[in-house]
Amino acid sequence: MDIHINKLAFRWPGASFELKIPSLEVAKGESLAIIGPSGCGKTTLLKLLAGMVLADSGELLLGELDWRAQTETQRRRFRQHAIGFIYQDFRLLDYLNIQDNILLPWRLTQDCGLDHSRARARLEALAQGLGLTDLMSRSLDQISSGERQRVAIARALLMRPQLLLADEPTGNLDPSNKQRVCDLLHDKAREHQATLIMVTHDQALVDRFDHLFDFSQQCEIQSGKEPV
Amino acid sequence: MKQQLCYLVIRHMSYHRLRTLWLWLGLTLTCWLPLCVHHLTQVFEQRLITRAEQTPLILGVRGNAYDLVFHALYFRHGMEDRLKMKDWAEVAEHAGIAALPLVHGFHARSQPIVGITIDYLQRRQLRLSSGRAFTSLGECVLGAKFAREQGMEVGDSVMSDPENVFHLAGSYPLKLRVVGILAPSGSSDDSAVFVDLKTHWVLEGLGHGHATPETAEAASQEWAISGDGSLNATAAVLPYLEITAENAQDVHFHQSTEEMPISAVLIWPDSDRATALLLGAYQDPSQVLQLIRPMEVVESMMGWVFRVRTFLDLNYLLVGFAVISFLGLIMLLSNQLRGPEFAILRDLGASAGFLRGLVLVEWGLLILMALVCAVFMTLGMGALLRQWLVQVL
Repeated sequence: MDIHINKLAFRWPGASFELKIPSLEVAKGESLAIIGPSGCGKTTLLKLLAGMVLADSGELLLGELDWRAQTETQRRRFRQHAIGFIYQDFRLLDYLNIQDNILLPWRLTQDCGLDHSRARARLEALAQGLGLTDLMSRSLDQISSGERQRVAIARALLMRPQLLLADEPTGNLDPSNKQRVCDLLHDKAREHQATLIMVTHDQALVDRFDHLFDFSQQCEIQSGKEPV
Repeated sequence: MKQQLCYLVIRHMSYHRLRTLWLWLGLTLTCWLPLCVHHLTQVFEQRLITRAEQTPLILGVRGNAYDLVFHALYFRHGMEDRLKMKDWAEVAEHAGIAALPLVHGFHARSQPIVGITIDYLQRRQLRLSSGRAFTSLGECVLGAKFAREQGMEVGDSVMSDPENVFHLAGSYPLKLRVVGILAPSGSSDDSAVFVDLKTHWVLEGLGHGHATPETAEAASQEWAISGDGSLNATAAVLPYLEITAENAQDVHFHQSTEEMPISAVLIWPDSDRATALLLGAYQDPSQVLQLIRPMEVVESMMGWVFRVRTFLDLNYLLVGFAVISFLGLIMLLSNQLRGPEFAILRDLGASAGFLRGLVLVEWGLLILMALVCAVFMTLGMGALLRQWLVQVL
């Protein structure tokens, strides 16, 4: 999925912080690392890309799609089918086991044309690829941090998204796991021909990405901080 | 989608099982208390009314109508002033009615011994589950509940309770032979011991036999002459009476049957006209006897029950309102606690309707489970207390 941003501006309601991005281009299947100081707007940019919030002005296109031209329901449905989101804090549900956590996007997606047996087949393939096969029936408190991150990645990949957004997915991991998770994301994105955009603080990880977007150099950081 | 929603709800409830159980118990109790009170008062009312409906009129000595109804229908309260058999004969002469005499005032194992005629069993449609009806003095037929609780069968015997152990001149307990057991009827008849009117009069000491020792040796065993020349009974004298085939012909009464006491007369008129004529005959307040309609007495008493129930219903309404307010607060706080979970679901594509459905289905399921459980508990409690209600009545 091609991404095109031009003179994008966004301000959180009631906050002094304002995000301004002059331009950004990422082609389908490419990867982009976003770096920058804390509170500069990295997560806000991911939310803008995912259509969770809408820009105040400027242009943001995902392929041909302009988020602002879509209704809330259309945005939600597009997000379900086309975008996978990986969070630093995993955002898994404690009352579901590993298998159900991975299947959650499928359970929440209406008319996705994916029946139960096909969803299970995808689940098994993902579990095998991510080394989660033996953990399927375990609960969250029975697995490690690294395993949780892999569960979150599997969940984001289940619907085979065209755009994979990762918000500091290696933030809670030790150095060896950081590299492993980063490699995994690249491999999976390439496997599914998805565009990968990842926010990171870790300079060591950015070498593998096709593009680098450094907030401190490429956009004007306004006074105030990005709301959490 | 509904299937997925229910799946998530069930997973959430089973993961937070303690919290779910707690809420469910609270809701169940909230639903159960008013349901149970309502159901039991209905059963109580139904029992009272059914029995009263089955007995259109009762004749008794003028006095408290409630006492007379409870005495004649539910075998509760002793009647100090009693009628005579001639009163029954007089009322029975009226055209178009069936009148049955009834007497009780004694107990066996704390349950009432009721003196009746065989017609009573037919009129009340009481069926024998085993044995036969009484045909001679000293025989009895047991109510189903009495027989079950006391573990008695046909061929056993039951002793009447001594009325007062310090009343030396009082009547002796009478040993009654069990010749029949009634099928359960769900009424106060189930707890009673039925005997013939004459057997009841023997219990009261109005009829008796004279035991004549067959030999001088037997007499010397039962009686001894003390130093002052008086005749004393020995321990060989039995402390109870028993009417057997051998001594039955010796039993006799020192009063004519007409003068024998009864507690009440149950009357079944054939028509409204017969009812009106009979009521007219006993409407004079100066008469010693009164004729009452049990249904009117029971309805008057139910008025009190309804007033108490209305008060309880109002009380439960207020408590229910308070509970619903608390539940609303719990729901609100629970939704706040589940905020992060809902945010995850929203970010993964759940619609607002789906999230609302998640909350509503969970609470709906809890309330449904509580209601079902409350209904079963009410029915269970009703079944448990049904026998107790029969006993109360």
